[in-house]
Amino acid sequence: VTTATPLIPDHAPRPVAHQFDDPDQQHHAVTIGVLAFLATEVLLFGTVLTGYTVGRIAHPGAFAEGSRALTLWIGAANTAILLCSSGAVALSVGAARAHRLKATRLALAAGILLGAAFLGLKAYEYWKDIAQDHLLPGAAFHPGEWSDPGAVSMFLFFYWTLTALHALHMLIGLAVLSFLALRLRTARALVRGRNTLHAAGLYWHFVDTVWVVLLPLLYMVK
Amino acid sequence: MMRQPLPWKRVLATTGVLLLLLVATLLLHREAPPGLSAVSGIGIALAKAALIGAFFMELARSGAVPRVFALAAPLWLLLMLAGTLADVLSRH
Repeated sequence: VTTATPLIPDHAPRPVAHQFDDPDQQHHAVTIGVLAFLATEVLLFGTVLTGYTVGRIAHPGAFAEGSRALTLWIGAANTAILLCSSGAVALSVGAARAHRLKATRLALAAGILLGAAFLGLKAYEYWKDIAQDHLLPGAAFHPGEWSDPGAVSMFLFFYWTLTALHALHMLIGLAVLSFLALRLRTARALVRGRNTLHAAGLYWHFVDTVWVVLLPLLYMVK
Repeated sequence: MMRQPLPWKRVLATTGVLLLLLVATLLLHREAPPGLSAVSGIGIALAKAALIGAFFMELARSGAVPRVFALAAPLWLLLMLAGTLADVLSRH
């Protein structure tokens, strides 16, 4: 009786899953799979954005009034933070592909910290919206302060729904990136995990793109 | 090919351009009249989204199939918006 020796020992780095022929094919499959998932995400945000569009056509003045009550500098600062975070994650993906472990981890940490800064600033903005500016219909809202409280409430409904949905996506993205930052500690882990990092990067850039579109729609209505 | 390392200079340059576009959005919002402000705000946002897709998500140097998958999403969104607005706008 002879024991077959495995072609690839268990302890060796295995950059390609068994169902793929080569790393290029696996990378291609990962990219297409994530993009298909992101298409469904676009439609998730798209349904709310369609409602927003109908509301804005019907009540342009109230939407502008509600938008002016939001804190533009926070929205703009968060956009800059998120753009830099996306850039850092793109650098991390590039460094992983070049087998540069330290650069990968450094850029990934920067991306995570910037993402956390976004959420911190957003949390402060939510506190300000509720406690100071009374912009939460049904809980902290003064109808007498608005020319058309019903329509302003509608704008604020879209504001809370879209930003909370986006923040939820940010939390999920941060959890995934943090998990990868903990996992990618050795050269072998980097070889195994760089496709996962590529997938997480695509998701993170999508979340960035959503915010870029939300900025003019929510904070800059005239 | 797509699996080649991302040129870090290109990533930094893209981030710089995106930040400049953000500044342009804010300036136009402050100075432009309402109609132009809305168009420029959404137009620049779409330009930023295109840059992120092309360079951060690497669609500029990917094959045709990933690009088709990426373009399907805005196309479906456009169809949803067009169908809804065709009804809404024809009532006024």
